[in-house]
Amino acid sequence: MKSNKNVNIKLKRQNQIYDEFEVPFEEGMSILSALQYIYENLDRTIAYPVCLCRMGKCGACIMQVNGKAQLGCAVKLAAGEVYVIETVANKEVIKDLITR
Amino acid sequence: MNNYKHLITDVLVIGSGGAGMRAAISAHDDGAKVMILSKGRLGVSGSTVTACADVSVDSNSITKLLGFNGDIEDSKEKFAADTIKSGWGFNHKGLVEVFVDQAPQRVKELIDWGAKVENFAISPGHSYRRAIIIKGNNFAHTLARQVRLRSDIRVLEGVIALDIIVKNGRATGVYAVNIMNGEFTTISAKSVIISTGGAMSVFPVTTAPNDLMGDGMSMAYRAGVKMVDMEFQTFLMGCCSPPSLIGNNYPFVLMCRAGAHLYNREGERFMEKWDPERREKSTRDKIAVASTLEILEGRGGRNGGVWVSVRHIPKNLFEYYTEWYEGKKLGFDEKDFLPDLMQEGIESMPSAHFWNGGIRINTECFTGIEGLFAAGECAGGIHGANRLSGNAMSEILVTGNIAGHSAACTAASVPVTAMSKEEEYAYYKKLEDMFCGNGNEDPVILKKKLQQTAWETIGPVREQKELERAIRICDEVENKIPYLRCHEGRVYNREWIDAMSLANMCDIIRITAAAAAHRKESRSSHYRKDYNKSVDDMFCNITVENSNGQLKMSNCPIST
Repeated sequence: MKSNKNVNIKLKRQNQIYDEFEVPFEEGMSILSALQYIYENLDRTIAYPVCLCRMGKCGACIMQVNGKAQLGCAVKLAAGEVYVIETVANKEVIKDLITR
Repeated sequence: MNNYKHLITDVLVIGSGGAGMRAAISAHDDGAKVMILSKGRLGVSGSTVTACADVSVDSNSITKLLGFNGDIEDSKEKFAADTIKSGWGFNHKGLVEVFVDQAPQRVKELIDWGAKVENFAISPGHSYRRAIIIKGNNFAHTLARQVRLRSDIRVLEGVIALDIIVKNGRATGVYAVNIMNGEFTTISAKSVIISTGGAMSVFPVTTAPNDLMGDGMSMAYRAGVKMVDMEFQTFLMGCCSPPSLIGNNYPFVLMCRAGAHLYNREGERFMEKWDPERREKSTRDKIAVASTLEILEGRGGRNGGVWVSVRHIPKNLFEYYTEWYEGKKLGFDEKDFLPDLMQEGIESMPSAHFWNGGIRINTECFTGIEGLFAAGECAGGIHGANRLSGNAMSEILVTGNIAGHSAACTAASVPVTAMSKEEEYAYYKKLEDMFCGNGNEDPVILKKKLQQTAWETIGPVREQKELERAIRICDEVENKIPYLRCHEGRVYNREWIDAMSLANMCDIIRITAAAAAHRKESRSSHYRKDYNKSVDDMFCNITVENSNGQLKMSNCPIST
């Protein structure tokens, strides 16, 4: 069910700068589905993990969301909220959310 | 002239899922220098890590070789018979015999290496309790650990193979690209093993990883191998809504194990027409065909699916059922993303789940091109027209091991072949041109177009004019490839990766459509609206090969 509200995603890019994206809210969306929306419609330069299992068991989409390590596919988004996304700490960043 | 990276190895393994890792281990232990190319991380790449999973071995061997409590009434012959029955008799008999014979030893090895056995079960289609339940990530990590213990196996993560280099009828290496830094990498090898898995992500809704597009199958086709049984894919009911759950197999699980009902828009439990006895517990292929017809004929929902409902189950009984559904895994719960299942249904559609056919191999995993081998889901023959539940996980160990030995043996007796710098330059230039762009074609739009076309034309329901349309659309998209434009940037450029995968998607969809068009009958998961009965004359394998750029189909007698 779509709503007029958006979700605000702040994604850490190069040089410690966060890019901000407004993603249309849809009931049942996750961080990973929001990133896919951003890539397809707003910014083709973002780098984020490929979804493998769709059910939280492979660990491929682990990232830091609002300071906490989470699976990108497991975080359910709420309308009007802000989500700050970056890689988990202690990982060498290749680009955005992709690490070595 | 050519400022590309050049590497040399004995045995090159493309793909780091179960089959690839197992092949690398065998080749290494035979003394070969081994290199693995992985799109992602070793052990967290490909379908293996996403499996649940049951690992099938005959129940007699479960007792006698593995030391568990199996059923000694079972036998390898009975296991082979069930496999062939599930495969509609299309299986390569020799491969099935090798598979049932070697599966027990391969699985015992995996357990000795530390894989944890959770449970046992009788899976659908099996006459005995043959399913050894080992979690997919445990299975994959056990193999990854064995690869890492062999520290001279070179693992290149984030390197995608693009095409096999064939010289004088022999596979001599690959052109590849390192997507982490954009560097083109040419690898010369004495033998090559393709273990790249299925191609389910040519469909928009799939249970498989999003980057699994049949790269290895399409490379092999371009190199000149015969593809077999390409018209047979397994679909199972997955979520089509919300976006975070697309392809998730919860609806399928609810039908198998929680007594869920399947409804169309008119509130009909339509499986009554197709399988009145079993209804929602029918076989996956029947459910896929039935559901697709309901959707195509306008009896589906706004999100393109039909409804899986547990509304009739008492809440306290449903809560009990969901205890066995792996509980809360790493903090993921499907129910977080779904409405209250006691009130609403899950909109579901057939999700591409398994690729039954693939590169034709013999019992040595040899493809017919010197120096080229294949193992795992990208190879065809073992599963026939429909894989038996649990056979994939034990099969990848068997074919992985055989391919590793075969490739090492070949590598021991051939020199490295020199590569042509002119051909190399011409090859990579096409991919570099995607940045400066001779046009403005959008790779993401074209990828989505191909995926939507795949669902409409080579999904569970097929017909002649749609199959011809599939081939036309693939030809059109392929003609646009020289006019693609990607944003500049060599470090993990997803747009560029999408652009580079279009050629593979076109080949896979075309080969599948051609095989499906050639099979003018319905059998297993291949359902033709225009030929909806099975025809005795078509009890044969269809092969597809590249004949001077044209798709050439042949009817072959079933291999013994």
